[in-house]
Amino acid sequence: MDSVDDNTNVQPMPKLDSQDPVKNHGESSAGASGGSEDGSFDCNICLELAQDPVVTLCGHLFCWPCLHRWVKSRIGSNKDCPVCKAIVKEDKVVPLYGRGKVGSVDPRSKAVPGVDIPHRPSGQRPDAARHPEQQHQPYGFTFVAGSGIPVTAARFGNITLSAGFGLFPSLFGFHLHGYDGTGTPSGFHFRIPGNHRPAASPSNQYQQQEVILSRILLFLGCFVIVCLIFF
Amino acid sequence: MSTSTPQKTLSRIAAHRLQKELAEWQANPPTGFKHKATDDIQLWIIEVTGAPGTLYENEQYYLQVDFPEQYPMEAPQVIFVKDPPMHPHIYSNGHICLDILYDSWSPAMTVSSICMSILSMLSSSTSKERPPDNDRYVRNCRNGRSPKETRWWFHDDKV
Ligand SMILES: [Zn+2]
Ligand SMILES: [Zn+2]
Repeated sequence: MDSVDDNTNVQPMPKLDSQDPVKNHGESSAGASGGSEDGSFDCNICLELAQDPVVTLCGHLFCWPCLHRWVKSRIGSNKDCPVCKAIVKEDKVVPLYGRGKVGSVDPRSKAVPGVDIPHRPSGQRPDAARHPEQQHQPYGFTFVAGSGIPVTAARFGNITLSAGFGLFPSLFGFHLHGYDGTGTPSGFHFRIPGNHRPAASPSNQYQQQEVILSRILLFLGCFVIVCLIFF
Repeated sequence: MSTSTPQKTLSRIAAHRLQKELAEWQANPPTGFKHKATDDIQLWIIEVTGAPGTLYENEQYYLQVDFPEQYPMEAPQVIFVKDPPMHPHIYSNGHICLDILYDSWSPAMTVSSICMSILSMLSSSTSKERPPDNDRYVRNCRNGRSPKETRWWFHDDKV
């Protein structure tokens, strides 16, 4: 509407409570055909079962292509949630990874020529829960010294593969061959067949790891302080 | 009524969504509204019946809803045709001063939710009269300008 400044009228207009149409919309989407049974998983923009679903921080569900198109069309105005008008930041939406349809091409991402829909933002993955049994070095992975990343996650389509790179005592040459504790370590049964390396005792391993971690944190802390002082 | 909305074909997304809305409307029409079948899914004519207990009780009016190519990213053009109701926010050329049709449009709204808003606007009216600037506004729109081109000025008047 900015382009019609020159010959436009200024008209009074009542401002309706913006919640009204929202409620109406929610009711009218019930019993919809073609979407999910009761509309609970329908995109709030195209009204179909959400494809490449994302949820805004305010909890509203959209297809990623639909939401992206809306946000992109809001240049110069508020990038707000179509349902509740809360601010929407594209890098803050949460993708939903269900089971179905890996790799299917969403027609909505192809429907508008000239408009490229970027990839859906990835989920923000907190570290895996700590558990002694998960800390054995998985078969086939070798630890790269110097990499301080405890967990890496790779996503192929909707499948998230996570590999835990713990900081294992074995890296430093301890406990590589045979633990001398008594009893079977609880993690033993969870090891991948083919990994013949006996596991270290979980408690021992845990302590070792904590010591190493705290050293790394101390080092990082010092580094940050040095950076702060000099830059 | 002619308007300056360019009649382009709907995008595939828009066509899908309109079919969906029409199916929902037919399954569950908003109270007080009747969709008049036309052969054009891009242009809906809707019969409105004034709600009981209001100034417009049992009166019949007609809304014309025109969908842009990029619907629902862009609002439809909604105007009264034939004899628009006498209302402080409805001009004699059928243009409706209602924020959700312009700046406050959101793609989560539907024809059905627009209809509800219009009915509630009608129902809350306390006097059957035209907006004070009706003549000037209508004169300015004479060459078929769409209300979507109007720079509306919003205020919190409850009528
Ligand atoms: Zn959608
Ligand atoms: Zn929201």
